[in-house]
Amino acid sequence: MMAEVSMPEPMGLQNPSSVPTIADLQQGEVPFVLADALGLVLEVNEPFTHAYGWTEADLRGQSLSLILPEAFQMAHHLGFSRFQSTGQSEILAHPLRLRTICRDGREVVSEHFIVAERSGDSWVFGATLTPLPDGSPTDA
Amino acid sequence: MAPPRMPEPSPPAPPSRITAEEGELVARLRSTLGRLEAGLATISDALAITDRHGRLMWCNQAFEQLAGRPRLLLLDRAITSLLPHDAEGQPLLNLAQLDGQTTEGRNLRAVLRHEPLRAVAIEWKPVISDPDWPLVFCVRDISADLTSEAMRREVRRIAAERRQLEEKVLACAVTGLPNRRALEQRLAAAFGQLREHPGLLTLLFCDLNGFKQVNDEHGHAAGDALLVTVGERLQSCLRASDLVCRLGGDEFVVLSQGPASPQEAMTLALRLLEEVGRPWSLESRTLHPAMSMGIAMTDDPDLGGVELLRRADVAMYEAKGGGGLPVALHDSSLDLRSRSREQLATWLRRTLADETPEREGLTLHFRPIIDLGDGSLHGLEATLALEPPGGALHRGAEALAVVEGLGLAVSLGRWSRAMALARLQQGPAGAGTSAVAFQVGPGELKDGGLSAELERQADRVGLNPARIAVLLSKEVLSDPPAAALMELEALGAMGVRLALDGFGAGSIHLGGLARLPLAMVRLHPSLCRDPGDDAHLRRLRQAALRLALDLDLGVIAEGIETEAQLQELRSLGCRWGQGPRFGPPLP
Repeated sequence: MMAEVSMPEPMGLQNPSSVPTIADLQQGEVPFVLADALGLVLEVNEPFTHAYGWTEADLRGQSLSLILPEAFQMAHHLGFSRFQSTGQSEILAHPLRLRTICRDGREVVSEHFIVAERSGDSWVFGATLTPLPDGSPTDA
Repeated sequence: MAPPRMPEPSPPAPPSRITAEEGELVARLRSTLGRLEAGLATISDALAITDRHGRLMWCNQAFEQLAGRPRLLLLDRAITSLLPHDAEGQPLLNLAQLDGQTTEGRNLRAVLRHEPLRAVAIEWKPVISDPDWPLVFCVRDISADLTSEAMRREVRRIAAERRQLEEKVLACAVTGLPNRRALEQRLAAAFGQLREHPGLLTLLFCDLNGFKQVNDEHGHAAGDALLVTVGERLQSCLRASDLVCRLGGDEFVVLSQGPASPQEAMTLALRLLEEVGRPWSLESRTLHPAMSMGIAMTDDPDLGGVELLRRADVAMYEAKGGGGLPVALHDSSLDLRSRSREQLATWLRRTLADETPEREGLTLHFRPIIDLGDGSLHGLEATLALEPPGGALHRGAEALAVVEGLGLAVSLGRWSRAMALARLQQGPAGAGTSAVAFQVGPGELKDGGLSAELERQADRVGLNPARIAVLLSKEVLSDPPAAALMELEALGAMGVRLALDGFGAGSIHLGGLARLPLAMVRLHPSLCRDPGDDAHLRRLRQAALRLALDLDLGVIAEGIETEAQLQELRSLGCRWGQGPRFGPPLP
């Protein structure tokens, strides 16, 4: 049976102060990915490459959708676009258990925590993707 | 709110794999898509896009609301499982409908299960220009169209079907009366009403006597017809606001808010008993259906239906085993009796399961049967005594009634006969006699096997079956089941002497006296006492004895206390006697 979750309030343009910053996420020891306003990967850290098998060279400049299951890509692109246009999002700043695609094609359930921050006139996105044990349920 | 800040260190400029112009184009496309998506979130039609197999890839906000879950929980799931069910509880769509798509797409209309009823139209079609053939779904609320007569008819049809279904679920299939589930609902409503409007709630638990016998002897169709008749008769005595329901088997329940006192409830119960007991023709026979009824009343809105039903059931059990009026009103003493009965049953079952022949608390007493002609010991009557640790003592007919009521008559009867015959063989209780009598209840006769068992046991101890007497209760006379009749005939054929117990007291079915292979009767103690100046009692005793003697039945007088009684009963033709005059029962 699917877990019941409440519909999150759309995330506003600015993070509340209680939400960790991208710098906070970066400083941890968990897999981390940074993306630009177009959803292109800017960097991944060492724990990320270790956990999912991708190298930074594989991903840098590529769409984030590369690490998302196919069934989620359309919703990802449209949600990303909506955020670009309206600043509204339902997935920012709270933990989500989603599937992440490894370089070898395997799907791993991981906890995603995504944060958006202004960078000049544009946006930058940082996310931690903590792998969960095999068989963990997902939110989606 | 803290001003947004760039992470430290600032992200390095990436060696992007798209050019700046391409990046600009992507940004513009994202902006356009974002506005479109935000716009689709504002419309009332529910939109969804799935892959060709119906697995959700995207949906708008209205679809989230229709599915009742946030989008993240809907992605990659079959759309057929995400839509609500229709008014008949069926899925709106199934995967088979999505397979074999044509380029035309399809549509359907349905009324949703939600209250109030809502009608929706669902359209879906493939995006044929896309090589992956995704499906686009639109679910539109068309409840406004319900003004059309056709739609109203559809809603009425669905509502009527639902009502019929509910009625089917809440009705007994045999009688058409409300069933246990319906009773639970009505009880809940009645207690709710009691909270708003103080008063009395009365529940009568009715148990049809002898129903199994009708089923066994005349078939289930006859049993069903009897149930229908009983239901109709009960209903005919009640107000429209009262409820009669069939709990199952031979149990009916009446729920009423009419009686304003226990007396009125009792009056209602007697009226129901009288109505149910009217003659009922079955094939060539006429039966008089009878019920035992337990009444429970309450003015406490917090008591609850389960407890009220339990109390009425306890009272019904009391009425059934009471031997008097077949109606009992619940009070706390009945609960105590019920608990005591349960403890007794537990003890008896445990004791009977014991492998050793001597069982603590279970004893046999032997009452002498004296030949009134010469004063010699003719035989012994073995009577059962139950004395559970810390419990009350039950002896003789009372013990037998308890055992019958607990459904343990067969196993306990078998044990007591084996013990009695063994004691007779050993002496000294049986010294000077070789005749023995046992009381046998209706339950043992119905179950069969008594004649075979007695034959086996008599053979084991070398006793001529003609020296065994079986004392039968009066219930056996009135309408013995076929199995009991066969058993009595088998006992008679092997020489066992059948005696009717309690003769002269209560009602006696005279036809039964002639029909059964009886050899003796035992005169009830009330007819054996000294009549003194009571001419009526004297005449009654004479009439009873004349009847027995005219039918060539030997007579045992029970309860003889004095020599004068002995002399008089002997002069009236009693051949044997029992009672305190001949000493206490022998252990």
